[in-house]
Amino acid sequence: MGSTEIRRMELGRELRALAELSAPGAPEPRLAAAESFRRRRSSRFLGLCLAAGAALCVGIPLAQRGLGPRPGLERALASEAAAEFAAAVLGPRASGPAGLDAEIETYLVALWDSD
Amino acid sequence: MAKEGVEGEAELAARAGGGDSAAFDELARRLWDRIGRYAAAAAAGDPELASRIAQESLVRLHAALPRFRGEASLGTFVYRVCAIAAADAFRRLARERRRLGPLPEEEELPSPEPGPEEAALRGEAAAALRRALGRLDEGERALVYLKEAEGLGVAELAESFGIPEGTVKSRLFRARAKLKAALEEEGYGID
Repeated sequence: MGSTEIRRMELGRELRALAELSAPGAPEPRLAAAESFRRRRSSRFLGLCLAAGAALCVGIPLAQRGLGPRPGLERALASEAAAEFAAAVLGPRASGPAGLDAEIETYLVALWDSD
Repeated sequence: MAKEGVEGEAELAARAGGGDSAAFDELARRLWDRIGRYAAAAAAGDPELASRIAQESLVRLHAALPRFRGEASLGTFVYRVCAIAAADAFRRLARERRRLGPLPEEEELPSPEPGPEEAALRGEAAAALRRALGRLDEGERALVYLKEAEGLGVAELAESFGIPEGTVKSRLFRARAKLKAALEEEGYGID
């Protein structure tokens, strides 16, 4: 041994051969499309929640003022101002007794409770 | 002939971007080799990671196609999506590793089908290249791969990575020098 012989390598060809060797099998476009739709839906949903949260931020101080010193989510949700703000921001998703879409309301309640 | 193929892809991309799922299926099939090779190069030959990057690229491509206006070539648009998917996969991997703690020494990846002598020699070269690529970061590997193996020019690389051409040149220079030094340690010189 002890030889320091340098072997030549054609970089482009070797890189391509290595990439071909370890490239994945068949594509799964249906799965990819489904995942892409799921993410889009979920980011739109989170956007709506954010808007609903903003509506609550407007509603909470008003609920506090009108309903005493202990603000709570339910009071804020019941606040007319929050409902109006939510309706303005969320459009058709702002429905239901609290002025918020039930799905969003559930999410916000879960967030509130987890704090 | 090749031009016809490219036009077909751009048309498919437009239809897929408009929500035509059959067009997306066909486009994914046509682009898969390029996406897969890119992912494999970025993953330094780790098949599992390559598979994750490739599938993530497809997800992101599906989400990005409605924004494809044809100002850039579809090829560079796809590589841009792959670059983002690869960067994201490496960020996730780093997070996982931080959570799990340090891993034992990286396992050596299996050499390609060792057949008789020529295959063994090629296998040796591939293993050396894989180790040398492991010394580069994912972005450097992708850059060198697209330049050397897919023949992209500096302007196309700049478009694919969303960086100025001057930055492409300096990163390429550094990455190639790192790779050259790593390969020399393995006993290989590059042409």
